[in-house]
Amino acid sequence: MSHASDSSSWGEVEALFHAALELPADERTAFVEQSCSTSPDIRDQVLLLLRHDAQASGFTRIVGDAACHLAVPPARDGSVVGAYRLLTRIGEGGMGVVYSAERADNLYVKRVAIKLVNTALVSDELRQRFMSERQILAALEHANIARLLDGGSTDDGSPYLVMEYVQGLPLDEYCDRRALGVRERLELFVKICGAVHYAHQQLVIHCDLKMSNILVADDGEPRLVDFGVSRLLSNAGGEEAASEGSRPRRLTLRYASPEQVRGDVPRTATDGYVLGVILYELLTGMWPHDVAADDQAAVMQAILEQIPRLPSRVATPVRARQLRGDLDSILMKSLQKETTDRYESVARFSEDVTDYLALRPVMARAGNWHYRLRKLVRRNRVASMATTVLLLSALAFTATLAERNRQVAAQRDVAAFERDKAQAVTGFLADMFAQATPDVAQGRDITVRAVLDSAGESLTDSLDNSFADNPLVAATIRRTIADVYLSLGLLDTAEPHIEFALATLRREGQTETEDYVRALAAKDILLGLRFEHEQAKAVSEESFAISSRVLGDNHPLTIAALNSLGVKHHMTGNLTLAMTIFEEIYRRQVARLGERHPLTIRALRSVGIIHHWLGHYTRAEQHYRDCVALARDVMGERHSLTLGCLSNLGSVLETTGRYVEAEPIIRQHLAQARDVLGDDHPETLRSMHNLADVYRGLGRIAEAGDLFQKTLERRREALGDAHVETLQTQMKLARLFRQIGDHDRALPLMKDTLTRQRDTLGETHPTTLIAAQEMADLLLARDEHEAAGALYLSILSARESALDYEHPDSIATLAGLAEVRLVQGNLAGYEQLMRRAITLADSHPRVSVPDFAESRQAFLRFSDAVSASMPDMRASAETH
Amino acid sequence: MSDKHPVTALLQAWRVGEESALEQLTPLVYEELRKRAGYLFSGESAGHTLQPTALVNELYGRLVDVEVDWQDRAHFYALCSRIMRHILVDHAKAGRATKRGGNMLIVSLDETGIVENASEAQHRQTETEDLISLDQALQQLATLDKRKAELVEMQVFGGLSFREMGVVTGLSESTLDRDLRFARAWLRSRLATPSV
Repeated sequence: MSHASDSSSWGEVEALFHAALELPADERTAFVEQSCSTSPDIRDQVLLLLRHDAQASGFTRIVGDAACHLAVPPARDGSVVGAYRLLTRIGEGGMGVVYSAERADNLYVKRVAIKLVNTALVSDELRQRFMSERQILAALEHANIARLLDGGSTDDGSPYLVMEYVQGLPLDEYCDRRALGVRERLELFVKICGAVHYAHQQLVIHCDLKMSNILVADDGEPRLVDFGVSRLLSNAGGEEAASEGSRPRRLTLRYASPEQVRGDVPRTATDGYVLGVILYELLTGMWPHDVAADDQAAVMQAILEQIPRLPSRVATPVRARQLRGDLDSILMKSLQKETTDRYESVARFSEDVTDYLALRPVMARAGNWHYRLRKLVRRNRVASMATTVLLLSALAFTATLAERNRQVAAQRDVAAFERDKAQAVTGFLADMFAQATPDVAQGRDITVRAVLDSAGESLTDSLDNSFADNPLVAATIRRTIADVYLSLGLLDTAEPHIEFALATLRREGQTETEDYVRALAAKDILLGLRFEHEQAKAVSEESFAISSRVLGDNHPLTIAALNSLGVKHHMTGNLTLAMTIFEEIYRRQVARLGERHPLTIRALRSVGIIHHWLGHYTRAEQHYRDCVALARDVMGERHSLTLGCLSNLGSVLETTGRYVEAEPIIRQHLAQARDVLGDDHPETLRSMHNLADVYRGLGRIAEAGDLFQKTLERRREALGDAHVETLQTQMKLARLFRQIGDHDRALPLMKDTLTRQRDTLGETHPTTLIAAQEMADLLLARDEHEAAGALYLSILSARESALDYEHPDSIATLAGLAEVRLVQGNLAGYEQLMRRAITLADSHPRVSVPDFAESRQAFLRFSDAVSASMPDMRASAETH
Repeated sequence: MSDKHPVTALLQAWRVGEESALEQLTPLVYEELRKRAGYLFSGESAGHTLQPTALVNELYGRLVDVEVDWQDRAHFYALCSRIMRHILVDHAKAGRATKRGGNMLIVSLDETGIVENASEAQHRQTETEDLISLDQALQQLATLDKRKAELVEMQVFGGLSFREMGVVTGLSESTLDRDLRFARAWLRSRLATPSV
């Protein structure tokens, strides 16, 4: 075969080539044959070129591939680095190359791996940092972490690291080759978590976890390699790049967290997320998101925005059965976009996996923060890692406490004071954390509680009070500690710290400050959790007033205080005021954030909820529908806010007796809530409750009974016996028993409900009144007329004292009382009450009250009979 | 005029015909490009998504003042494409001489997750050969038709658009299209059947 390599024929070949291309493809060969009948050489050349014309060149790929190997330093086989002789090159990456090596002095035989950093990349600063920070890595001693043994600089100045030599297979390959089952994979994973968590406690974040960095040896022990190395490197490189204005991505995207994709500082939660991806892949064999791996932009977008596919949906059918439920929930929780929605620590993650393996209930399925808090308190597991993360991040920015503390005292400049105060606070927290480290080394779980307790003691001990000169610093620290106690549900422990902070700030004349507002907010939460709503309301009012003055009407803290005030009014049954407040919040959020902001939608939802409570069902429905549409649009179908609004909508349809309309909406919500939030999430349970209510409304009594019973059990487990929503289900179940005539089963349920609600909410709270109504109906059904009548009356008077004459719930109350009067023989009373009930019902045409249609029919028949046969009685009733 | 970076001034001098400017410019850009390339490509693993053309783009943003006109930009790109080719080829040749340990032990201490074993080494060897073959073919092309070789170089190593190539060479787009089509077909035929 000849080539157009002869310059004499070059022009001719080119001309023929282009001429041929002008023709249809099938005529080209004939054209060239004809044109070159005398010079076969040129003919062959042109035909060859034509054959290669339409093909993909691959030049770009060739160049790209070559570029990827650009950063590899020249070979050094056989040369001596420090005390080691390099043997063979066993791996390479952009930052350098890895050799296997052994001691050069033959003192003892030890295989090591040496990583050499590419000289071209080394700046003085990088080298310095590299050397100082490797000390930290050298301190990592864990059976499942490959040790950093040594490090130094070669003669030409390249830094190197000497690592323990690990022989094994990458995690996924190991699992697949041995065909490990789910349980064995999880057991391996727990070991890996242990190593990562250990490093976190030593303040080292891996940042580059992936299958190939987790090697499993023949004995089945996993080893993590490259711990923190990438962090060192990327820190150094990142700084260099940052100063140049553009930070390149140095990520293995497949194992990158949302915050890494955004370019934020990686945290311990980052490793937690990546462990989630790894576990997901180990269990399903798939990446969590359904995008083409080579479409970088799509991959990044998926990491940032897409909810992962439910593991049980992507796994093989056999696997799927094992993943459904607990493991689904565990993985979905670990893969949350927001770090705060994930496990608080890798230890918690691992603990949940362990719980699963031990067939204990797992935490991920709770989902809801309140639920978790309760669970946590109940199990008395105060060693939550929630705050370890906080402490870790505080540590990262810490300055030495004592010095800063002295500086704080000397500072006059307010801005500098604030800054130093912050440093002193984080410094203090860091010290607390450091104190706990010996415990950690002994293998005990670090207890935040212990750390906080000792901190609290050292502060309250006046002899050893290093903050005597800085009461404001002390106040901030005490308030921070209180916040942590509150988040652990330790109300009594939190209280003195809050009081100390408040008292100090008052004494120092610092009540018009953000600190004071925050301290008040802590007190507000404390009182709220104790159901001391009246007191809490006063605190909300104070913090709202101060925040408005100091921070302005539209500051998030001001709006939070106002919201808290609205909630208190709602909780204490002052619905009209609550309405005014939520409407005001909505106005401010619209002005501040626009109509489509999630916080604005939440405010709108609150307004809808108050309408719902006030019995303005049409308006509530409209608000809910707006919220659903907005939330769906802004946040997507499966966002918790969308689901919440959908649930509200279903509930208002149910309340107004539009069961046929309500059923599909509630079913839709239930399916999505189960999917997204899990079976035991409060939101899911709310939907189950509503659906049971719909069944009851539709007359499907058996189904309703089963579902109420199931919901009640789950709510008791998930929320506790006294939770307002547990009681709600308990009451509805009691009502169902009453309706099927099983009064004996209904009575204890109702007694319990009413007692608890009176305790927690008060006699006149709307929720208590609903329960009282049900109790009265039950008493009536049991022919306890006196008691029933008294109860109906007290319900009516409570509503009337709240100036709430027109509440649609009063229809049933009036009808009930009327019936009592009827059986008592008080026909005038009966007629009067029924007429009031009917008038009220007519003013709420969209509201359907259970059983009221029958009462109404009966009354009309009675009324007809009276007017026909007993005119004087009717007259007497009218003049009454 | 801003004195942000000498590159800007040199670039302008070169474009208006000062050949000595090019001599000063080349080592400056070479060093920058090599350093940045080593750093940037190190972070990429699967997919090889970062191409040299992106690097040239990035380098331009850092080295040259924003207010220079886009003809300077085209010239800068052309220069970079030449330098990039040298960098890559030099590196590939150096790599070809390297003895590799092709054992199956997998020790991953690298950032990129490129775990080397026998087959990987093989693969890398192929990649190196591909680039060297491309370079040799380009050299042959240059002896036959210098202009076409330069166009391919600009397009493949520097990512220049037709418009930018037009600025540098003064050729019309249709000429560029014809030249490149022919040159690429020629190179492909060359690479498909290596000369003996």
